[in-house]
Amino acid sequence: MISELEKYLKENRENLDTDKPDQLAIWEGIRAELDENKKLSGNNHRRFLFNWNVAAAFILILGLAYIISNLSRNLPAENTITLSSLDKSLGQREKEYQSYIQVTKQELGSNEFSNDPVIYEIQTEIMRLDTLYNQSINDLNEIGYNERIIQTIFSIYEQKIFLLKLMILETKKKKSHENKYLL
Amino acid sequence: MKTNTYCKYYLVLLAFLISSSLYAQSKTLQKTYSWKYSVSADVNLSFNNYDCDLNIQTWDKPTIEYKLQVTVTGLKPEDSEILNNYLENLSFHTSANRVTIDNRFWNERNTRNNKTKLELRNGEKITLTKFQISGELKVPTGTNLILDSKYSNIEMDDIYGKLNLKLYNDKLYAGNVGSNLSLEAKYSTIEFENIKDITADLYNTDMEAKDMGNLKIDSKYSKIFCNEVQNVDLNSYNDKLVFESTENVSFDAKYSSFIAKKSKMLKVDTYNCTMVIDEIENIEIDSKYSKFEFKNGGNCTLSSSFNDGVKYLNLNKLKIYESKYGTYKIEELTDKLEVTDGYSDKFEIIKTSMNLKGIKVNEKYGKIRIGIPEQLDFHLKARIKYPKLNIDDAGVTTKIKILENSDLEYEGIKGTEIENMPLIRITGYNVSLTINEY
Repeated sequence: MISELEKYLKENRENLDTDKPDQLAIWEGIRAELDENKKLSGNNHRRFLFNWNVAAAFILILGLAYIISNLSRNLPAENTITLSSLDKSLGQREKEYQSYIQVTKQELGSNEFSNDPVIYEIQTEIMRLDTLYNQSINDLNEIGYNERIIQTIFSIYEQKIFLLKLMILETKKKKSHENKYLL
Repeated sequence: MKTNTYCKYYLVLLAFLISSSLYAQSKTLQKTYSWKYSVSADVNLSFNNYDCDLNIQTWDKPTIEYKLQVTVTGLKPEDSEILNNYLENLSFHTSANRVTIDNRFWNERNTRNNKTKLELRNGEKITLTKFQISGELKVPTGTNLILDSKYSNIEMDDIYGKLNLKLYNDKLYAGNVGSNLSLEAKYSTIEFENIKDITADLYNTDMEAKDMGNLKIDSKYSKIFCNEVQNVDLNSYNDKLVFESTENVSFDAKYSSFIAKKSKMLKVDTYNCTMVIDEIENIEIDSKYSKFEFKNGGNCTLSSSFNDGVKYLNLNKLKIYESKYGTYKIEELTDKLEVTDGYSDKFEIIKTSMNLKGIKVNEKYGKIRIGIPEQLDFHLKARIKYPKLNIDDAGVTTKIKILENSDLEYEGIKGTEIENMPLIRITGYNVSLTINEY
């Protein structure tokens, strides 16, 4: 059966082979397929490059962080520390004290040292408070955040306000009382 | 595709390794270091304590033992080793009679942004994030201790040697001190049981004790509470001092208050102060703008007074050399009132005793109100310019009454005249005198 069919096909090949391939369409198809493959391969390549870039950036950042961290260990420290550098609310509180002191000083008027021994003593006390404040800041530089030092600093501010008010009171007392009767 | 996946895994692993290696840089050193020295029973120990809670115990061994607990975090491994080696090899200056311990084992310490840089005494530098030390010290009971401390909580057993304390921003809780105490403290809180004699310089410090020996204190912005104290010598500025009882007191003060239940002799030089004492023997006052309130007192002498207020329930004798704008209120005067030079003072003596010896006042612009028992006979003399007398004439025999211009000379006898009868003599200018009989 097979040999007869083969025989028949061989003999009638030319009559049977009537359709011709559309060569143009085939070539277009091949070209389109080639383009698509090319596009896919470009995308993969880009993705591959992108991953490497991310990785490189990541490594770079980590490396830089490591270097900065190491460098900062050996950097010289800043000279002064402030309450606001420790905590914003502490800085705010300090500012309030400072402005209150400023207002009280304005009320007091003169900055000159008094001849009156009582007022002079208060002025000396205020100067001593400045020394204690500087000492507290130095300790803060050494120890870092410390509740006791911060309490001391605020206590110094309160003491200063108390003394300034006392000075106002004493000045008024001198003017309105003693001088009035003694002169 | 497979290659890409491997790459991704590789990158994650790499990142993990790098971050772990960074994290692994941070190390914690937590260790107790100890030192032990054989010493004499009355060894002199100088201890410098900084930012380190300290527990001081006494024992009957001739040994000093010091343990230092160190907790340091955020150390690099090499820094941890440096610190550990340093502390392990740290030694203190010692001899049989003297030991010096200093827990401030660094030349420089600097803290910024939660990072502390420490330069050790040998010059080596380390960096860390948290630094915490505490100590435990055992010393012979008879140790003479010099303790210089800052920013620490200190607990101390009974100690019987001499104690010299210099405290800054500390809290000290101590037992008995069996010898003299020398104390300098700022911004501190101190509690003792019983102390012998104490010399102290306090600034913004609260001190409390059961009983004290003699007390000599220079103090500012401080509070002192004590049950019994012997003689007290206080130089005070804006303090509050409260005692159960004292012997003699010398009180030189400004803006301070002194409260006691019982005191003997007091010598005070005050400015804007308050003194409140229940029982007091004698007091000498030189004062301005102060208030004195006593229940029972012996003699009260004011050498100089300006705008003061003196109040007694019972007083034996009040003697004033110089007074201006003073207010004197005495519920009962037993013996005598004498005013040498008064100006615009107010005297209110509600009652006088039957033993009254006399009242002698020289005043200008003063007001005097005296209550005298009905049964008490007295001799009244007045020489006043611009007088204002308010006296019940009934029973008073007038011996002299001359009023020229505004000058009054008056002499009268209440009751029967006898030798050494109480004499009330008022002289001055623009004086108002009221005598109430009761």
